Amino acid sequence: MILLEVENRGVFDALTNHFKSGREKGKFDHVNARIVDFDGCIYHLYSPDGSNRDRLELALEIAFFDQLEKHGATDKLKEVYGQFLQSVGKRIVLAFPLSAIPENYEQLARDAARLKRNCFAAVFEKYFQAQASGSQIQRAVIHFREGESVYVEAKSDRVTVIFSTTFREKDDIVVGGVFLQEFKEGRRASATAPQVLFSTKEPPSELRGTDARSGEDVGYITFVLLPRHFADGTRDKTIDLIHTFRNYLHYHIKCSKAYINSRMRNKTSDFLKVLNRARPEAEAKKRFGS
Amino acid sequence: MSATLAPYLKAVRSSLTASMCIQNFDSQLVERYNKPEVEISSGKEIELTPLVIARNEKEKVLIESSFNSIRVSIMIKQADELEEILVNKFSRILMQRAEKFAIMRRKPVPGYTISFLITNIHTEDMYKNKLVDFIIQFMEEVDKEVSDLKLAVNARARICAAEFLKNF
Repeated sequence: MILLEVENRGVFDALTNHFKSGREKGKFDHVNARIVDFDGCIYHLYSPDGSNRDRLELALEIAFFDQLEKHGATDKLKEVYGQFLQSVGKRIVLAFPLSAIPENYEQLARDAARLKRNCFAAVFEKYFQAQASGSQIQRAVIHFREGESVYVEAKSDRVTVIFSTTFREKDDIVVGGVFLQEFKEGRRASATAPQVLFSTKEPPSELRGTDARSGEDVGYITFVLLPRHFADGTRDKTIDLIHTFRNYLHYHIKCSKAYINSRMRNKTSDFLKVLNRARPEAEAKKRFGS
Repeated sequence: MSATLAPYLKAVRSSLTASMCIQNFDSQLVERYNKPEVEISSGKEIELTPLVIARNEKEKVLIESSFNSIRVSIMIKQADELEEILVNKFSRILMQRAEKFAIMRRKPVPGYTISFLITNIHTEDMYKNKLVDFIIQFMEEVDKEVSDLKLAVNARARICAAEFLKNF
């Protein structure tokens, strides 16, 4: 699995199962589950009021929702979830009454599993529209994790998305550097890919003068998105990929480190075997065994 | 580059074989002590001249010898940052298991990546030529493993970037 899934698989599976069994049995099963997502966001799927079996509620707690709200997240959520949206705020609640579950409940479950993605989507769509219409708006800053942020800016002919990420270990910085170098040169593989730039330790020139951090463990990745990346057909895909980029990068850095560790441990036991050949008892055992 | 590898390893092998003539030796300074002389160095007459075999500035082997022990320190090639962290990780993993390896030293001699301490007890338990074989094989395989891992990380990075970017 190279690419991360956009929708939360846990939420999708749980909802699909509950919708299916609810429709078959005429009432929902009792449930109280917490499902964790990236960036410290937690989904909570539960039956409200304990004994009430014909409603399910899905709540999502996002600590930084007020920053997304500034850019119209509420409107986007109303647009996508319509009647199912019960309340908006640091805790977004979707309510599913049994009577309202449609025939193709899988689609509804999928939309619900993309709740976090849709919160982010509002920000990007606002800036894509601003670039298309040529209006000037201030740069968006979302601090979605401690010490890490994303900056979105609409320019006359493009939209730039800058991720500022913190590498918590020294090894991460080096391995991360290798990955980012490949991203930068990714254009030679795919002609349609956006331009990716990165800088370590110092913020890029566009962010100079803001509160952007600098330090040994900081990296900045800039995506230059051109209008064809967020045209009607490609916009959703672009948002899907971009908003989880930071998670994607760190996931693969950790995978690499795990792989390196396991290979080194295997090599170490190989060495041990070679060394044990130097002991005479090993020779004696061999003679008895053969 | 590999043209110098064979003579380098041959030189290390013959130096090791020559210096691995160690026998039991009680401490001259403290009664009832029997410690590896290369580590505590109780006098100039006990140690032999240390020998450095260098393939280039970044790769060398230091062999310090004495009556009852020899200390072999290896400096592994680290050409760039990625190789540096790979070599650091590897030597840390090896040195944590120093007890299992018997001949390994828990801390490297300053200026080198990893050190082995071979005492008369080890040579009484193990064949000398096999010990030398082990050290030579170790040197070859560590270099190979580090370059394999570097390639693996680069390949993974390329695939990840390609997968991500081709979807735009």
